Amino acid sequence: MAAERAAILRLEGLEKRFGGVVAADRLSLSLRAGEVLGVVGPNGAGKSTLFNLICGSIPADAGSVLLEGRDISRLAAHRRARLGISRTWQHVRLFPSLSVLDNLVMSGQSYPGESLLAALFRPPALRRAMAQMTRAAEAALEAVGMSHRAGHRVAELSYGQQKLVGLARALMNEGPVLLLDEPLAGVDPRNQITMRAIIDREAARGRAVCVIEHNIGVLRELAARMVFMFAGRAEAEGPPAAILGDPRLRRIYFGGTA
Amino acid sequence: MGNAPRITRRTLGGLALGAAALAAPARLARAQQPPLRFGVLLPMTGRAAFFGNDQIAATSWALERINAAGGVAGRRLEMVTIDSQADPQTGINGATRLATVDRVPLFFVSWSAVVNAVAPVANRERVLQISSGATAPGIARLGEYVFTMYPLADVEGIAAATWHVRSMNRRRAGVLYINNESGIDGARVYRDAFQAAGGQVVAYEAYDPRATDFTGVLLRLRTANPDILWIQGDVPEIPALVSQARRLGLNQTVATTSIGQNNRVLEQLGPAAEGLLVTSLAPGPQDRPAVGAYIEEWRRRESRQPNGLPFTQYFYDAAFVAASLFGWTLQRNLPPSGENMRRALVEHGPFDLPLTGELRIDVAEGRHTVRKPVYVLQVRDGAFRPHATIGV
Amino acid sequence: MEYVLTILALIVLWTILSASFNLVIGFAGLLIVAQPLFYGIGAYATAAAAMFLGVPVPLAPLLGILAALLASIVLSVPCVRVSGDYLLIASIGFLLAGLQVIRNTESIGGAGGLAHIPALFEGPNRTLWFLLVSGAFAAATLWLVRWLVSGDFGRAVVAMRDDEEALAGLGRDVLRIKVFLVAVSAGCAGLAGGLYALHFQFVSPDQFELLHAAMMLACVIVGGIGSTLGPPVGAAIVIALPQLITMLEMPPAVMAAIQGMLFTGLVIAFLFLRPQGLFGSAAAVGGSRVEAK
Repeated sequence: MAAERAAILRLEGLEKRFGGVVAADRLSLSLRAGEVLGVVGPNGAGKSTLFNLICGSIPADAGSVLLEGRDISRLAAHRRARLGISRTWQHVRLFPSLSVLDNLVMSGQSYPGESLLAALFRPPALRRAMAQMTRAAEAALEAVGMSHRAGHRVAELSYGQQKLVGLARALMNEGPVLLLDEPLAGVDPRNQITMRAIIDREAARGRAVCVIEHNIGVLRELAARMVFMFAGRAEAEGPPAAILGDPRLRRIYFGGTA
Repeated sequence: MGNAPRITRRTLGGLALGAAALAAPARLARAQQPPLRFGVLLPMTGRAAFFGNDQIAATSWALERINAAGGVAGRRLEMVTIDSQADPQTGINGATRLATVDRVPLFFVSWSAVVNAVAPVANRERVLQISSGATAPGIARLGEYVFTMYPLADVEGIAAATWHVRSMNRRRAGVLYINNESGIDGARVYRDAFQAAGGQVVAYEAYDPRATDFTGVLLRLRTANPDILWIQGDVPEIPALVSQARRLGLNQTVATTSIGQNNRVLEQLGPAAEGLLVTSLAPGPQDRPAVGAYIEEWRRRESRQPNGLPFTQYFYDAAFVAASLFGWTLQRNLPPSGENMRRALVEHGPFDLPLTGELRIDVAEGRHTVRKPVYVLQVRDGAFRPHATIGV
Repeated sequence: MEYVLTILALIVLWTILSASFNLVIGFAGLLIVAQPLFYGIGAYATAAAAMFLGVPVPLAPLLGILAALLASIVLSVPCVRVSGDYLLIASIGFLLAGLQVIRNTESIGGAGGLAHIPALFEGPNRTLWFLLVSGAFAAATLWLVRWLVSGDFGRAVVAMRDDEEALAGLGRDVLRIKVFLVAVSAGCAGLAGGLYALHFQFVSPDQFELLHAAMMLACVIVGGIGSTLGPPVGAAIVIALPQLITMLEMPPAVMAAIQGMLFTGLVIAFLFLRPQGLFGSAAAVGGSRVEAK
C-alpha cells in the first residue's frame, strides 16, 4: 500500500471474543493523517467493538494497536485518550449530572480533576489552564452552535443536540485520532450539515478521522476510503464506489439487517 | 420467658425530650429513708441476653430475700439495671449513665470486653466496679476501682493441672486447645502449671474454632501417648472431640474446664461421657445445700435450669456483697460513696455468701484477684457428680 | 452532664465516620464497607503509637490516619477495578481478614482488646474538651467532603458516578479518583478511631465489626445518601435513639426486639418512605441521576 500520507494508527491482528461470539477476528487496519475512513457493516459486525479496542475500554485478546508507531495495546483507556485518541459514542454518553459546558471541560486534556493535590492547592498555572480550558470549551460549543445551551443540563437537550455536544466534547481532545460512532444518527438535517462541515474541517487539519455510519449516502460523500466489516472481520477495504458496488457485500449488508 | 426481673430504674420523660428530662429527674418523696441502690450492667438484649437476663433474675431474687429480711439497716436495697448488649461501647454508655445519672456508688458487670471497656469510667468517676463473671486475666490490673469476685482464667487451670499431677499421679499431659484468645491463654496456664508441678506436657495441639473433624490432632496426640488429656475448648465441639478421641483408641482420662459442665455434653456423648472430668468455679448442691434450694427455686419459678448456673450463682451473691458493703459504710456513718464502697470492699474481710461460699478479695501491688476453691465433677451414670474439691 | 456529653461525643465521632463513608458509598458510588476496619486501624495505630512508640498523645492520631490510609490503599488498588457486588464482597473479606489479624496479634491485646490507652484530656471537663476538639474535626470533615464533591475534583467524581467508562475514554484516570476517595475516606475514619481510642481508652476488635458498617449505612441513609449535611443528623439519630429507647421501661423481650431491628428498620423505613433521607434533596450534587427520567 503506497500511502501518500503516514499511517497514524495501525491495528495488527486484533482479536476479541465474548464467550463464543467473535467480535474481532484478525482485524488489521490503518488510519492515515488527514483522511476520513468510513466503517460500514450490518449490526453486530463488530464496528463499535473496533472503537472500544482502539480506545482501550475493552482489552484485546490478541493483536496490537500502534499509535504513531508506538504500541499502546497495554495502556488503560485514559492513557490512550491522553495520547490523542478521542471518541464519541453511539449513544452519546454525556454526564447527566453535569452542565453542558462541564461535560466539555471534563474532556480537556489539562483538566486536573483526578489529581486531588492539584485540585486542593490550585496553583496559578492550573488556574490559568482551567480558564483556558473553559474558553476552549466555549469555543467548541460555539463551533457546533450550542453556546446558548452551555449552562443547561444534558436532560434538557434534544437527542440531536446531545450528539452535537458529544462531538464538541470529543473535539476538546486535540489529539491526532478522532473516532466517531454514528455521529449523524438522530440528528436533524440542518445540524447534519454542521456536523459534516466539522468532520471535513478536522480531517483537513490533519486529523485521522474514523466514522461508523449507517447513512451510506452521507458517508460516501465524507469518506475517501471505506472498510466493510462483517462478523468481526474487515471483509473489504477500498474507495466507497468499489465497496458499495460489490454485489456480495450488498447482499451481506442488506441481508444482515433484515 | 417468665416474669421480667423487676427493674427499678427511674422512669424518665418521653423519647423526644429524653436528654432534657435527664437533667431534671423526678425525685421521689423523701418521706422515708431513700433506698440504697447499686448498678447491674449486663446484656439484656442481643446474642448474650439469655445469660444476662438469668443473671439479673438471680440478683433480683436475692434482693427480694434481703428486703424481706428488713433490707440493709432498715433501708431497701435496689438495683438499677442497664443493658450492655455484651457490646463494649453500649457498656461504656451504660456505665457512664450508672455513674453520672443514676449516681450509684457501685455496679456489677460481666463479659470480659465490657469489663475492660468500662474500667476507665469506673476509675475516673470513682465508682466501684465488680466483675462477677468475666475471666480474662487482664481484669486483675484494670485499675484502682475495678475488682472481681469471679475467679480469673488462671485459677481454674492452675488448680486442675496441679491436682492432676499431685492427686491423680498423672505425669504425661496431652493438651488440646481451641485457637482463640481464651483457648491459647488457658492452655498456656495449664501447661505451665502442669510442668511446675513436676509433670511433662507430651503434646500441645491447637485446633481451628470452626473445625468439626479432629482426626489429625488426635492422631498426633495418640502418638505422644499422654496419660491425661486436657481440653481447653468451647461448648459446641467438646462432644465431637471426645467421641472422636474414643473412636481413635484414646482411652485416657479426659478433663476439661467448667465449659464442659453442660447438659449438651451429656446428651450428645451419652455413655461416651462416662469418666469425663470437669472443673467448676462454683459449688454444686452437694457442696452447699443452699445451691440445691436455689436450683429448686428456678424449677418452681421458671420451670427450668438457669442458663450458665455458676454465673447466676455469682450474680445472686452479688446482691449480698452489695448489702454487706452498704451495711459496712452505714455502720461507720460514712456516706455510701464510691470511695467508701471501695474502702468497704478492701477492709471488709472475707464475705460468706449463700451460693458461692467464702469470698476473699486479694489486693496486692495493683493486682485485684480472688481466690476460690475449684470443684471437680465427674460424669458417672449420665450425670455430673462431685468428685473432689481443690482448696485455695 | 457527663452522660449526655459522652453521647454527644459519640455522635460527633459518628458524624466523621458517616460523612467519610458517605463520600465513598454515596458520592463515589463504591460499595466499600470496610469503613469499620479503617476506624479500628486508626484506633489501634493511635493507641499503639501513644503506648509503645512514645509518640506524644496529641500527635498519635496522625499515625492512626496514616495507618488507615495505607490500609485503604492495600484494599483499593487491587479492588476498585472491579465494581458493584464484587467490590462489596472484596471489602467485606478485607474487613473480616483485618479483624482476624487484630484478634491474633498478641502485642496489641488480641481478641481481648487493648486497655490502658492514655487519654487526650484529663480532669473534670475532659469530655467537654474532647467534644470541642472532635467537633472541630467533624466540622472540618464535613467541609472537606463538601469541598471534594463540589470543586474540579468533585465534578470528576460526579461524572465518574454518571458514566465511568465514558470518563476514562475522555482521558480521566478513574482508578486514581477512586483510590483517592477511598484513601481520604479511610483517613477520616482513622482520625475518628484515633480520637475514640484516646477518649474511651479501650479498644477491642468487637467494636469494629461488620455490624458497625450497617450502623454507618443507617447514618448515611437516614441523613440522606450523597448529602453533605445528612451525616450529623443521621449520626445523632442512630446513636441517640437506642439510648432513648433504653430509658423507656420495657420488658427485655420487647426491648430485644426493638434494639435488634432498630438499624435494619430505620434503613428499610427510609428506603421506602424517604429514599433521599432527611437532608438529601434530589437536586443535591449528582442527584440528577435519580431525577433524570
